[in-house]
Amino acid sequence: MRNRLKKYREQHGWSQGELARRLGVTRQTINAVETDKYDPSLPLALRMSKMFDVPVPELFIDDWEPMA
Amino acid sequence: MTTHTSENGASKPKWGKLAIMMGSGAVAGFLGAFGTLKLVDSGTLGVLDTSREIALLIALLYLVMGLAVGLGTLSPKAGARFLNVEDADELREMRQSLLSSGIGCIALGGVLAVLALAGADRVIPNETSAIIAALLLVVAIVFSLRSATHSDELMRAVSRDTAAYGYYAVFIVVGGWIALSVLEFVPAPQMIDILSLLWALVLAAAFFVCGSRGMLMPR
Repeated sequence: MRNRLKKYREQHGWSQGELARRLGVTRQTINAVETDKYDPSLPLALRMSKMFDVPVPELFIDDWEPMA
Repeated sequence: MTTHTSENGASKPKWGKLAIMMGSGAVAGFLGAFGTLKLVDSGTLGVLDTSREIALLIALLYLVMGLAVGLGTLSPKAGARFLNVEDADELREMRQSLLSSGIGCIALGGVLAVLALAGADRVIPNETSAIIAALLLVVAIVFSLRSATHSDELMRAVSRDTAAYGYYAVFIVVGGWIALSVLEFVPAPQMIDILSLLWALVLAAAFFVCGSRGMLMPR
């Protein structure tokens, strides 16, 4: 799933390591999310949205639309 | 070979580091395999057929990987040169998980090696081998569980995916071989062949999963 994690992380001037430390995960996890190789769990996605004070759909982009 | 997303831009792979990682892995693997085969040919290890030689080489892979992870974690500055991490600090942050994982990997390799060397015309009697293998298996389980408790959600997802893909691979490869031997199209595998395949296929599954998660890209 595409995401804007890197954009928000860089806006805050944080390295991957710094964000990983604040979220309680490894740098590999942040790297994998930023490169679209891993979709985080719902709890981690919520923590990320709280961290950057943005809604989850602003961080994670889902093109799916409900059927009419 | 790029890492990219539409929103996050591209990051350049570190080719120099990739060369060091692959080179050191190839040298360690070659020296280990060369030494093992020399030892086998010398007869020091007793009578080993091809199946047991292959088992020993697969065990060696586990030992080399476990040693690389373990020693790299104990010496982060050096480890950051040949392990796929951003810097030495990342190894320090993951010390508990990686050290346990390295010990578990060595113990698992030890189990297969001890089984390959067991038997009346080989260096370890069956009874002794059973005891050593059981002890090493306990060590592997304890340290794997310890590693899991220090892992985050990505590593737990990698473990789950590895277990799933490993199961499919074992089902197809081992099941396929046995099915063909039931039909008498191919010779039946020896028990040591099945063990070697279990070890090798789980390892292959782990590499496949890590690759699909982008964890093999040089950082």
